[in-house]
Amino acid sequence: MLVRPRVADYETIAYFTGKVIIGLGLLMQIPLVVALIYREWNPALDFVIGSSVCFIVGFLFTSFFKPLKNLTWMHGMVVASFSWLVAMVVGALPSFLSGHYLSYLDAGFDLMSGYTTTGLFLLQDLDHVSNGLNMWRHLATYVGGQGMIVVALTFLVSASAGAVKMYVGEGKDEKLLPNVVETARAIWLISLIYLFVGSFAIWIAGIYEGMAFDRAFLHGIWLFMGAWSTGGFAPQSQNLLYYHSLLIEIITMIIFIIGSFNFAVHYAVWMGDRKEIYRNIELVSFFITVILTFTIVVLGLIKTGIYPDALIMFRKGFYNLVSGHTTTGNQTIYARQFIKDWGPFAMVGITVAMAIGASACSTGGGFKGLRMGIIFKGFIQEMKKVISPESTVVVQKIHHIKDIVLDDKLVRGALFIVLCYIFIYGLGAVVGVFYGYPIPDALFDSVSAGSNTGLSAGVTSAAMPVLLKIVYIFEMWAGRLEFMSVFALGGFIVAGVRGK
Amino acid sequence: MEKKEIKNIFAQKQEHIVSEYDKYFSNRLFSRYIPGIIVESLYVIALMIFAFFLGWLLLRWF
Repeated sequence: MLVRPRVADYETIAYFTGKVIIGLGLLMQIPLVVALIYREWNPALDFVIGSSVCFIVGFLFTSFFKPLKNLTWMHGMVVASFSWLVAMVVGALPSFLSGHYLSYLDAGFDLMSGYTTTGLFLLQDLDHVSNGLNMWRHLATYVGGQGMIVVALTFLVSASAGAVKMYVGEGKDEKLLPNVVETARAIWLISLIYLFVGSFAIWIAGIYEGMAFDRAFLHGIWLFMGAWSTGGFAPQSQNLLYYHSLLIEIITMIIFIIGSFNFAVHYAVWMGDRKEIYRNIELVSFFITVILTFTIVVLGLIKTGIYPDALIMFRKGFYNLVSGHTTTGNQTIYARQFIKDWGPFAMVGITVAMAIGASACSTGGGFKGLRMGIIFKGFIQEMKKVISPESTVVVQKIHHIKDIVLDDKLVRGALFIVLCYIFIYGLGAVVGVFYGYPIPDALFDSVSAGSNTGLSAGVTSAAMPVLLKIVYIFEMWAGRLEFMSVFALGGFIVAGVRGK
Repeated sequence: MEKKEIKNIFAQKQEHIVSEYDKYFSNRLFSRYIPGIIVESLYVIALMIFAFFLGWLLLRWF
Protein backbone atom coordinates (compact mmCIF):
# COMPACT_ATOMS: atom_id res chain seq x y z
CA MET A 1 0.00 0.00 0.00
CA LEU A 2 1.27 3.45 -0.89
CA VAL A 3 1.45 5.87 2.03
CA ARG A 4 0.59 9.45 1.15
CA PRO A 5 3.43 11.80 2.17
CA ARG A 6 2.72 14.11 5.13
CA VAL A 7 3.06 17.89 5.05
CA ALA A 8 6.28 17.54 7.07
CA ASP A 9 7.75 15.42 4.25
CA TYR A 10 7.06 18.13 1.68
CA GLU A 11 8.48 20.75 4.04
CA THR A 12 11.69 18.78 4.58
CA ILE A 13 12.25 18.38 0.84
CA ALA A 14 11.49 22.07 0.21
CA TYR A 15 13.87 23.13 3.00
CA PHE A 16 16.88 21.24 1.67
CA THR A 17 16.07 22.19 -1.92
CA GLY A 18 16.10 25.80 -0.68
CA LYS A 19 19.61 25.25 0.69
CA VAL A 20 20.80 24.01 -2.69
CA ILE A 21 19.22 27.03 -4.42
CA ILE A 22 20.99 29.42 -2.02
CA GLY A 23 24.22 27.61 -2.89
CA LEU A 24 23.48 28.23 -6.55
CA GLY A 25 22.93 31.94 -5.87
CA LEU A 26 26.28 32.13 -4.08
CA LEU A 27 27.92 30.39 -7.00
CA MET A 28 26.57 33.01 -9.41
CA GLN A 29 28.72 35.62 -7.65
CA ILE A 30 31.82 34.18 -9.38
CA PRO A 31 30.63 34.81 -12.99
CA LEU A 32 29.25 38.14 -11.75
CA VAL A 33 32.73 39.21 -10.61
CA VAL A 34 34.24 38.01 -13.91
CA ALA A 35 31.63 40.01 -15.84
CA LEU A 36 32.37 43.13 -13.75
CA ILE A 37 36.15 42.77 -14.22
CA TYR A 38 35.69 42.62 -17.99
CA ARG A 39 33.12 45.45 -17.93
CA GLU A 40 30.38 43.24 -19.35
CA TRP A 41 27.51 45.21 -17.86
CA ASN A 42 24.62 43.35 -19.45
CA PRO A 43 25.83 39.86 -18.46
CA ALA A 44 26.59 41.26 -14.98
CA LEU A 45 22.98 42.38 -14.70
CA ASP A 46 21.84 38.89 -15.79
CA PHE A 47 23.76 37.38 -12.90
CA VAL A 48 22.44 39.96 -10.43
CA ILE A 49 18.89 39.04 -11.48
CA GLY A 50 19.69 35.30 -11.45
CA SER A 51 21.29 35.30 -8.01
CA SER A 52 18.56 37.55 -6.58
CA VAL A 53 15.92 35.06 -7.69
CA CYS A 54 17.99 32.23 -6.15
CA PHE A 55 18.30 34.07 -2.82
CA ILE A 56 14.62 35.04 -2.68
CA VAL A 57 13.40 31.52 -3.53
CA GLY A 58 16.04 29.89 -1.34
CA PHE A 59 15.35 32.08 1.71
CA LEU A 60 11.59 31.67 1.31
CA PHE A 61 12.00 27.88 1.24
CA THR A 62 14.36 27.76 4.21
CA SER A 63 12.41 30.30 6.30
CA PHE A 64 8.88 29.00 5.82
CA PHE A 65 9.57 25.29 5.87
CA LYS A 66 11.04 23.41 8.78
CA PRO A 67 12.81 20.11 8.18
CA LEU A 68 12.25 16.88 10.08
CA LYS A 69 15.08 15.93 12.43
CA ASN A 70 15.35 12.39 11.17
CA LEU A 71 15.57 12.15 7.43
CA THR A 72 14.56 8.89 5.79
CA TRP A 73 16.15 7.43 2.67
CA MET A 74 13.12 8.64 0.74
CA HIS A 75 13.77 12.26 1.80
CA GLY A 76 17.46 12.08 0.87
CA MET A 77 16.77 10.56 -2.54
CA VAL A 78 13.92 12.94 -3.41
CA VAL A 79 15.93 16.00 -2.32
CA ALA A 80 18.83 14.89 -4.53
CA SER A 81 16.76 14.37 -7.67
CA PHE A 82 14.33 17.26 -7.15
CA SER A 83 17.01 19.82 -6.32
CA TRP A 84 18.82 19.04 -9.60
CA LEU A 85 15.62 19.81 -11.53
CA VAL A 86 14.99 23.05 -9.62
CA ALA A 87 18.65 24.03 -10.04
CA MET A 88 18.26 23.56 -13.79
CA VAL A 89 15.23 25.86 -13.94
CA VAL A 90 16.70 28.58 -11.71
CA GLY A 91 20.27 28.33 -13.01
CA ALA A 92 19.10 28.74 -16.60
CA LEU A 93 17.85 32.27 -15.88
CA PRO A 94 21.10 34.23 -16.46
CA SER A 95 21.90 32.02 -19.46
CA PHE A 96 18.51 32.72 -21.02
CA LEU A 97 18.76 36.46 -20.30
CA SER A 98 22.05 36.56 -22.24
CA GLY A 99 20.09 36.26 -25.49
CA HIS A 100 22.20 33.36 -26.74
CA TYR A 101 19.32 30.89 -26.54
CA LEU A 102 16.29 30.46 -28.74
CA SER A 103 14.08 29.37 -25.84
CA TYR A 104 14.13 28.85 -22.06
CA LEU A 105 14.10 25.10 -22.70
CA ASP A 106 17.38 25.43 -24.62
CA ALA A 107 18.93 27.33 -21.72
CA GLY A 108 17.64 24.66 -19.32
CA PHE A 109 19.06 21.94 -21.60
CA ASP A 110 22.51 23.57 -21.44
CA LEU A 111 22.40 23.96 -17.69
CA MET A 112 21.36 20.33 -17.19
CA SER A 113 24.08 19.34 -19.65
CA GLY A 114 26.53 21.37 -17.54
CA TYR A 115 25.47 20.06 -14.12
CA THR A 116 25.44 16.46 -15.31
CA THR A 117 28.86 16.97 -16.95
CA THR A 118 27.48 15.98 -20.33
CA GLY A 119 28.70 18.78 -22.58
CA LEU A 120 26.04 18.86 -25.30
CA PHE A 121 24.93 22.43 -25.92
CA LEU A 122 22.26 24.38 -27.75
CA LEU A 123 23.85 27.80 -27.21
CA GLN A 124 23.97 30.03 -30.27
CA ASP A 125 27.19 31.72 -31.40
CA LEU A 126 29.45 30.28 -28.72
CA ASP A 127 32.51 32.05 -30.11
CA HIS A 128 31.08 35.44 -29.11
CA VAL A 129 29.80 34.65 -25.66
CA SER A 130 30.74 36.98 -22.77
CA ASN A 131 33.42 35.90 -20.31
CA GLY A 132 30.84 36.01 -17.54
CA LEU A 133 28.51 33.55 -19.26
CA ASN A 134 31.41 31.31 -20.22
CA MET A 135 32.48 31.25 -16.58
CA TRP A 136 28.93 30.32 -15.55
CA ARG A 137 28.73 27.43 -18.04
CA HIS A 138 32.05 26.00 -16.96
CA LEU A 139 31.43 26.57 -13.28
CA ALA A 140 28.12 24.72 -13.58
CA THR A 141 29.90 21.73 -15.04
CA TYR A 142 32.70 21.89 -12.45
CA VAL A 143 30.28 22.03 -9.55
CA GLY A 144 27.96 19.45 -11.11
CA GLY A 145 30.92 17.10 -11.40
CA GLN A 146 31.43 17.10 -7.66
CA GLY A 147 27.65 17.15 -7.13
CA MET A 148 25.18 19.80 -5.94
CA ILE A 149 24.59 17.94 -2.71
CA VAL A 150 28.33 17.69 -2.13
CA VAL A 151 28.45 21.49 -2.44
CA ALA A 152 25.58 21.90 -0.02
CA LEU A 153 27.11 19.40 2.41
CA THR A 154 30.46 21.16 2.24
CA PHE A 155 29.29 24.68 2.84
CA LEU A 156 25.68 24.86 3.94
CA VAL A 157 24.46 21.77 5.76
CA SER A 158 25.80 20.71 9.12
CA ALA A 159 26.59 17.06 9.77
CA SER A 160 23.45 15.08 10.41
CA ALA A 161 22.19 11.59 10.00
CA GLY A 162 20.24 12.71 6.94
CA ALA A 163 23.26 14.09 5.11
CA VAL A 164 24.49 10.68 4.03
CA LYS A 165 21.10 9.90 2.52
CA MET A 166 21.19 12.95 0.27
CA TYR A 167 24.79 12.18 -0.65
CA VAL A 168 23.94 8.63 -1.72
CA GLY A 169 20.88 9.94 -3.55
CA GLU A 170 23.20 11.88 -5.80
CA GLY A 171 24.76 8.69 -7.15
CA LYS A 172 27.79 8.74 -4.90
CA ASP A 173 28.04 5.86 -2.48
CA GLU A 174 31.68 5.94 -1.43
CA LYS A 175 32.59 7.13 2.03
CA LEU A 176 36.16 8.36 1.94
CA LEU A 177 36.01 9.31 5.61
CA PRO A 178 33.67 8.11 8.37
CA ASN A 179 31.75 11.40 8.34
CA VAL A 180 29.85 12.25 5.15
CA VAL A 181 30.47 15.99 5.49
CA GLU A 182 34.20 15.29 5.84
CA THR A 183 33.92 13.08 2.75
CA ALA A 184 32.29 15.93 0.80
CA ARG A 185 35.09 18.25 1.91
CA ALA A 186 37.73 15.70 0.87
CA ILE A 187 36.12 15.53 -2.59
CA TRP A 188 36.34 19.32 -2.82
CA LEU A 189 39.92 19.37 -1.59
CA ILE A 190 40.99 16.90 -4.29
CA SER A 191 39.13 18.88 -6.97
CA LEU A 192 40.50 22.25 -5.86
CA ILE A 193 44.11 21.05 -5.76
CA TYR A 194 43.72 19.66 -9.26
CA LEU A 195 42.04 22.94 -10.29
CA PHE A 196 45.22 24.86 -9.41
CA VAL A 197 47.62 22.35 -10.95
CA GLY A 198 45.60 21.72 -14.12
CA SER A 199 44.58 25.31 -14.84
CA PHE A 200 48.17 26.46 -14.36
CA ALA A 201 49.44 23.82 -16.82
CA ILE A 202 46.88 24.78 -19.50
CA TRP A 203 47.52 28.48 -18.86
CA ILE A 204 51.24 28.06 -19.51
CA ALA A 205 50.52 25.88 -22.57
CA GLY A 206 48.13 28.56 -23.89
CA ILE A 207 50.78 31.28 -23.52
CA TYR A 208 53.31 28.98 -25.21
CA GLU A 209 50.88 28.55 -28.12
CA GLY A 210 50.65 32.33 -28.51
CA MET A 211 47.49 33.28 -26.64
CA ALA A 212 47.31 36.56 -24.71
CA PHE A 213 48.20 36.34 -21.01
CA ASP A 214 44.73 36.86 -19.52
CA ARG A 215 42.88 35.02 -22.28
CA ALA A 216 45.13 32.01 -21.78
CA PHE A 217 44.40 32.23 -18.04
CA LEU A 218 40.63 32.16 -18.52
CA HIS A 219 40.83 29.42 -21.14
CA GLY A 220 43.08 27.48 -18.76
CA ILE A 221 40.46 27.58 -16.01
CA TRP A 222 37.58 26.79 -18.36
CA LEU A 223 39.30 23.96 -20.18
CA PHE A 224 40.34 22.51 -16.84
CA MET A 225 36.78 22.69 -15.50
CA GLY A 226 35.40 21.09 -18.66
CA ALA A 227 38.01 18.32 -18.66
CA TRP A 228 38.25 17.56 -14.91
CA SER A 229 34.52 17.27 -14.46
CA THR A 230 34.42 15.13 -17.64
CA GLY A 231 31.98 17.71 -18.94
CA GLY A 232 33.56 18.57 -22.25
CA PHE A 233 32.50 22.19 -22.40
CA ALA A 234 35.01 24.52 -24.06
CA PRO A 235 34.88 28.28 -24.70
CA GLN A 236 35.07 27.86 -28.49
CA SER A 237 32.56 26.18 -30.78
CA GLN A 238 35.29 24.03 -32.34
CA ASN A 239 36.08 22.69 -28.89
CA LEU A 240 39.69 21.43 -28.57
CA LEU A 241 40.19 21.58 -32.34
CA TYR A 242 40.32 25.38 -32.00
CA TYR A 243 43.74 25.29 -30.32
CA HIS A 244 45.53 22.96 -32.78
CA SER A 245 47.92 22.17 -29.97
CA LEU A 246 49.31 18.73 -29.11
CA LEU A 247 50.43 20.11 -25.75
CA ILE A 248 46.95 21.27 -24.73
CA GLU A 249 45.47 18.01 -26.02
CA ILE A 250 47.85 15.93 -23.88
CA ILE A 251 47.28 18.06 -20.77
CA THR A 252 43.49 17.94 -21.11
CA MET A 253 43.66 14.19 -21.77
CA ILE A 254 45.61 13.63 -18.55
CA ILE A 255 43.13 15.81 -16.66
CA PHE A 256 39.99 14.11 -17.93
CA ILE A 257 41.35 10.62 -17.40
CA ILE A 258 42.34 11.47 -13.82
CA GLY A 259 39.00 13.27 -13.42
CA SER A 260 37.22 10.07 -14.37
CA PHE A 261 38.78 8.18 -11.43
CA ASN A 262 36.74 7.28 -8.40
CA PHE A 263 37.23 9.84 -5.59
CA ALA A 264 37.90 6.94 -3.23
CA VAL A 265 40.84 5.93 -5.46
CA HIS A 266 42.21 9.48 -5.44
CA TYR A 267 41.95 9.53 -1.68
CA ALA A 268 43.59 6.12 -1.24
CA VAL A 269 46.49 7.01 -3.55
CA TRP A 270 46.96 10.40 -1.90
CA MET A 271 46.97 8.84 1.53
CA GLY A 272 49.87 6.62 0.52
CA ASP A 273 48.24 3.48 -0.88
CA ARG A 274 50.08 3.68 -4.22
CA LYS A 275 49.36 0.04 -5.15
CA GLU A 276 45.69 0.92 -5.54
CA ILE A 277 46.51 2.46 -8.92
CA TYR A 278 47.14 -0.92 -10.54
CA ARG A 279 45.12 -3.16 -8.24
CA ASN A 280 41.80 -1.34 -8.27
CA ILE A 281 39.19 -3.17 -10.35
CA GLU A 282 37.93 0.06 -11.93
CA LEU A 283 41.31 1.17 -13.16
CA VAL A 284 42.15 -2.32 -14.44
CA SER A 285 38.76 -2.49 -16.15
CA PHE A 286 39.26 1.02 -17.60
CA PHE A 287 42.70 0.12 -18.99
CA ILE A 288 41.39 -3.04 -20.65
CA THR A 289 38.23 -1.50 -22.12
CA VAL A 290 40.15 1.51 -23.44
CA ILE A 291 42.61 -0.74 -25.24
CA LEU A 292 39.84 -3.00 -26.62
CA THR A 293 37.66 -0.16 -27.88
CA PHE A 294 40.69 1.71 -29.23
CA THR A 295 41.62 -1.41 -31.23
CA ILE A 296 38.12 -1.38 -32.76
CA VAL A 297 38.41 2.33 -33.53
CA VAL A 298 41.87 1.96 -35.13
CA LEU A 299 40.71 -1.01 -37.24
CA GLY A 300 37.68 1.02 -38.36
CA LEU A 301 39.82 4.05 -39.17
CA ILE A 302 42.34 1.93 -41.09
CA LYS A 303 39.45 0.75 -43.27
CA THR A 304 38.52 4.32 -44.12
CA GLY A 305 42.20 5.32 -44.39
CA ILE A 306 41.55 8.77 -43.00
CA TYR A 307 44.49 8.98 -40.58
CA PRO A 308 47.75 7.80 -42.18
CA ASP A 309 50.27 7.92 -39.31
CA ALA A 310 50.47 7.00 -35.63
CA LEU A 311 50.63 10.57 -34.29
CA ILE A 312 47.49 11.74 -36.07
CA MET A 313 45.80 8.47 -35.08
CA PHE A 314 46.69 9.29 -31.47
CA ARG A 315 45.52 12.91 -31.66
CA LYS A 316 42.25 12.20 -33.46
CA GLY A 317 41.47 8.53 -32.80
CA PHE A 318 42.75 8.00 -29.26
CA TYR A 319 41.87 11.48 -27.99
CA ASN A 320 38.24 11.26 -29.05
CA LEU A 321 37.93 7.66 -27.93
CA VAL A 322 39.26 8.38 -24.43
CA SER A 323 37.20 11.54 -24.31
CA GLY A 324 34.16 9.36 -25.03
CA HIS A 325 35.22 6.58 -22.64
CA THR A 326 35.72 8.96 -19.73
CA THR A 327 32.37 10.53 -20.76
CA THR A 328 34.06 13.90 -21.25
CA GLY A 329 33.13 14.96 -24.76
CA ASN A 330 36.08 17.18 -25.72
CA GLN A 331 36.47 16.80 -29.47
CA THR A 332 39.39 17.31 -31.83
CA ILE A 333 37.22 16.76 -34.89
CA TYR A 334 33.93 18.24 -36.13
CA ALA A 335 30.71 16.48 -35.11
CA ARG A 336 29.83 15.39 -38.64
CA GLN A 337 33.28 13.85 -39.12
CA PHE A 338 32.18 10.95 -36.90
CA ILE A 339 29.64 10.10 -39.59
CA LYS A 340 31.53 11.21 -42.69
CA ASP A 341 35.13 10.19 -41.91
CA TRP A 342 35.08 7.57 -39.18
CA GLY A 343 32.65 5.09 -40.71
CA PRO A 344 30.31 2.71 -38.86
CA PHE A 345 32.94 0.31 -37.44
CA ALA A 346 34.96 3.00 -35.65
CA MET A 347 31.70 4.52 -34.42
CA VAL A 348 30.75 1.18 -32.85
CA GLY A 349 34.00 1.33 -30.86
CA ILE A 350 33.41 4.83 -29.55
CA THR A 351 29.69 4.22 -28.86
CA VAL A 352 30.55 1.16 -26.75
CA ALA A 353 33.25 3.18 -24.94
CA MET A 354 30.74 5.96 -24.14
CA ALA A 355 28.18 3.44 -22.92
CA ILE A 356 30.71 1.85 -20.53
CA GLY A 357 31.85 5.23 -19.22
CA ALA A 358 34.02 6.23 -16.30
CA SER A 359 34.38 5.20 -12.65
CA ALA A 360 31.70 5.08 -9.98
CA CYS A 361 31.72 8.00 -7.50
CA SER A 362 33.59 10.13 -10.00
CA THR A 363 32.55 13.06 -12.14
CA GLY A 364 31.80 10.71 -15.06
CA GLY A 365 28.78 8.76 -16.25
CA GLY A 366 27.90 5.55 -18.09
CA PHE A 367 27.70 1.97 -16.76
CA LYS A 368 30.90 2.63 -14.75
CA GLY A 369 34.06 0.55 -14.58
CA LEU A 370 33.15 -0.90 -11.18
CA ARG A 371 29.95 -2.43 -12.54
CA MET A 372 31.72 -3.75 -15.63
CA GLY A 373 34.31 -5.35 -13.35
CA ILE A 374 31.65 -6.85 -11.08
CA ILE A 375 29.65 -8.24 -14.01
CA PHE A 376 32.78 -9.68 -15.66
CA LYS A 377 33.93 -11.30 -12.42
CA GLY A 378 30.38 -12.58 -11.85
CA PHE A 379 30.50 -14.13 -15.31
CA ILE A 380 33.84 -15.80 -14.48
CA GLN A 381 32.37 -17.08 -11.22
CA GLU A 382 29.41 -18.64 -13.04
CA MET A 383 31.78 -20.26 -15.57
CA LYS A 384 33.88 -21.69 -12.76
CA LYS A 385 30.74 -23.05 -11.06
CA VAL A 386 29.72 -24.82 -14.27
CA ILE A 387 33.04 -26.58 -14.77
CA SER A 388 33.71 -27.36 -11.09
CA PRO A 389 32.30 -30.35 -9.18
CA GLU A 390 28.92 -29.65 -7.59
CA SER A 391 30.19 -29.51 -4.03
CA THR A 392 32.83 -26.88 -4.83
CA VAL A 393 32.34 -23.45 -3.34
CA VAL A 394 33.59 -20.87 -5.84
CA VAL A 395 34.69 -17.64 -4.22
CA GLN A 396 35.46 -14.67 -6.43
CA LYS A 397 36.95 -11.46 -5.10
CA ILE A 398 37.27 -7.97 -6.48
CA HIS A 399 39.64 -5.31 -5.25
CA HIS A 400 38.21 -1.85 -4.76
CA ILE A 401 40.01 -0.06 -1.92
CA LYS A 402 39.70 -3.36 -0.05
CA ASP A 403 39.06 -6.95 -1.13
CA ILE A 404 35.36 -7.59 -1.58
CA VAL A 405 33.84 -11.07 -1.90
CA LEU A 406 31.53 -11.16 -4.87
CA ASP A 407 27.98 -12.25 -4.07
CA ASP A 408 24.77 -12.52 -6.09
CA LYS A 409 23.36 -9.33 -4.58
CA LEU A 410 26.31 -7.31 -5.83
CA VAL A 411 26.10 -8.75 -9.36
CA ARG A 412 22.32 -8.31 -9.47
CA GLY A 413 22.60 -4.66 -8.36
CA ALA A 414 25.21 -3.93 -11.03
CA LEU A 415 23.17 -5.66 -13.74
CA PHE A 416 20.02 -3.74 -12.77
CA ILE A 417 21.71 -0.36 -13.15
CA VAL A 418 23.31 -1.41 -16.45
CA LEU A 419 19.86 -2.45 -17.72
CA CYS A 420 18.46 0.96 -16.73
CA TYR A 421 21.21 2.65 -18.74
CA ILE A 422 20.51 0.44 -21.76
CA PHE A 423 16.83 1.39 -21.45
CA ILE A 424 17.49 5.15 -21.54
CA TYR A 425 20.02 4.79 -24.37
CA GLY A 426 17.33 2.91 -26.32
CA LEU A 427 14.62 5.42 -25.42
CA GLY A 428 16.55 8.38 -26.85
CA ALA A 429 17.53 6.42 -29.94
CA VAL A 430 13.92 5.38 -30.63
CA VAL A 431 12.64 8.96 -30.29
CA GLY A 432 15.48 10.19 -32.53
CA VAL A 433 14.66 7.60 -35.21
CA PHE A 434 10.97 8.53 -34.91
CA TYR A 435 11.86 12.09 -35.90
CA GLY A 436 13.73 10.86 -38.96
CA TYR A 437 17.38 10.77 -37.84
CA PRO A 438 19.44 7.82 -39.13
CA ILE A 439 19.85 4.99 -36.59
CA PRO A 440 23.64 5.36 -36.01
CA ASP A 441 23.35 9.13 -35.46
CA ALA A 442 20.33 8.82 -33.16
CA LEU A 443 21.97 6.03 -31.13
CA PHE A 444 25.28 7.88 -30.90
CA ASP A 445 23.76 11.09 -29.53
CA SER A 446 21.37 9.22 -27.24
CA VAL A 447 24.18 7.16 -25.69
CA SER A 448 26.19 10.37 -25.44
CA ALA A 449 23.38 12.09 -23.49
CA GLY A 450 22.53 9.09 -21.27
CA SER A 451 26.15 8.41 -20.36
CA ASN A 452 26.80 12.15 -19.82
CA THR A 453 29.48 12.21 -22.49
CA GLY A 454 28.65 15.09 -24.83
CA LEU A 455 30.16 13.92 -28.11
CA SER A 456 27.71 14.57 -30.91
CA ALA A 457 27.22 13.15 -34.37
CA GLY A 458 25.17 16.21 -35.29
CA VAL A 459 21.70 15.36 -33.95
CA THR A 460 21.91 17.74 -30.99
CA SER A 461 21.16 21.24 -32.18
CA ALA A 462 18.76 24.05 -31.35
CA ALA A 463 16.68 22.94 -34.35
CA MET A 464 15.95 19.47 -33.02
CA PRO A 465 12.38 18.62 -31.92
CA VAL A 466 11.22 19.78 -28.47
CA LEU A 467 10.35 16.23 -27.35
CA LEU A 468 13.84 15.03 -28.20
CA LYS A 469 15.33 17.86 -26.13
CA ILE A 470 13.15 16.84 -23.18
CA VAL A 471 14.10 13.17 -23.59
CA TYR A 472 17.81 14.10 -23.65
CA ILE A 473 17.36 16.25 -20.52
CA PHE A 474 15.73 13.26 -18.81
CA GLU A 475 18.54 10.97 -19.99
CA MET A 476 21.24 13.31 -18.70
CA TRP A 477 19.51 13.76 -15.35
CA ALA A 478 18.62 10.09 -14.75
CA GLY A 479 22.01 8.89 -16.00
CA ARG A 480 23.91 11.25 -13.72
CA LEU A 481 21.90 10.37 -10.61
CA GLU A 482 22.10 6.66 -11.44
CA PHE A 483 18.34 6.10 -11.38
CA MET A 484 17.67 5.27 -7.73
CA SER A 485 16.79 8.81 -6.67
CA VAL A 486 14.83 9.29 -9.91
CA PHE A 487 12.74 6.23 -9.03
CA ALA A 488 12.34 7.64 -5.51
CA LEU A 489 11.03 10.94 -6.90
CA GLY A 490 8.66 9.06 -9.22
CA GLY A 491 7.45 6.95 -6.30
CA PHE A 492 7.01 10.05 -4.14
CA ILE A 493 4.86 11.74 -6.77
CA VAL A 494 2.73 8.61 -7.28
CA ALA A 495 2.32 8.25 -3.51
CA GLY A 496 1.27 11.90 -3.32
CA VAL A 497 -1.47 11.32 -5.91
CA ARG A 498 -2.64 7.80 -5.14
CA GLY A 499 -1.43 7.11 -1.60
CA LYS A 500 -3.70 6.70 1.40
CA MET B 1 44.35 38.29 35.17
CA GLU B 2 46.04 41.32 33.75
CA LYS B 3 45.44 42.54 30.29
CA LYS B 4 49.07 41.92 29.31
CA GLU B 5 48.94 38.34 30.49
CA ILE B 6 45.85 37.65 28.48
CA LYS B 7 47.53 39.13 25.44
CA ASN B 8 50.53 36.85 25.98
CA ILE B 9 48.43 33.73 26.26
CA PHE B 10 46.55 34.74 23.17
CA ALA B 11 49.78 35.31 21.23
CA GLN B 12 51.16 31.94 22.34
CA LYS B 13 48.01 30.19 21.23
CA GLN B 14 48.11 31.94 17.87
CA GLU B 15 51.72 30.87 17.41
CA HIS B 16 50.84 27.31 18.30
CA ILE B 17 47.97 27.23 15.81
CA VAL B 18 50.15 28.67 13.04
CA SER B 19 52.95 26.18 13.63
CA GLU B 20 50.47 23.28 13.77
CA TYR B 21 48.92 24.50 10.56
CA ASP B 22 52.32 24.78 8.87
CA LYS B 23 53.25 21.27 9.95
CA TYR B 24 49.95 19.87 8.76
CA PHE B 25 49.96 21.71 5.46
CA SER B 26 53.58 21.08 4.47
CA ASN B 27 53.33 17.45 5.52
CA ARG B 28 50.25 16.95 3.37
CA LEU B 29 51.48 18.97 0.43
CA PHE B 30 54.88 17.41 -0.04
CA SER B 31 54.43 13.92 1.28
CA ARG B 32 50.93 13.20 0.00
CA TYR B 33 49.31 15.43 -2.57
CA ILE B 34 52.21 15.90 -4.96
CA PRO B 35 53.29 12.22 -5.00
CA GLY B 36 49.58 11.33 -5.37
CA ILE B 37 49.25 13.55 -8.42
CA ILE B 38 52.47 12.11 -9.90
CA VAL B 39 51.34 8.50 -9.39
CA GLU B 40 47.97 9.21 -11.05
CA SER B 41 49.64 11.02 -13.96
CA LEU B 42 52.05 8.11 -14.46
CA TYR B 43 49.09 5.74 -14.89
CA VAL B 44 47.66 7.98 -17.60
CA ILE B 45 51.00 8.49 -19.36
CA ALA B 46 51.58 4.70 -19.35
CA LEU B 47 48.13 4.25 -20.92
CA MET B 48 48.87 6.89 -23.56
CA ILE B 49 52.25 5.39 -24.50
CA PHE B 50 50.72 1.92 -24.68
CA ALA B 51 47.90 3.19 -26.92
CA PHE B 52 50.28 5.11 -29.17
CA PHE B 53 52.33 1.99 -29.89
CA LEU B 54 49.20 -0.13 -30.29
CA GLY B 55 47.96 2.33 -32.93
CA TRP B 56 51.35 2.33 -34.63
CA LEU B 57 51.48 -1.50 -34.68
CA LEU B 58 47.96 -1.87 -36.04
CA LEU B 59 48.64 0.72 -38.73
CA ARG B 60 51.75 -1.21 -39.82
CA TRP B 61 50.07 -4.62 -39.82
CA PHE B 62 46.94 -3.72 -41.74
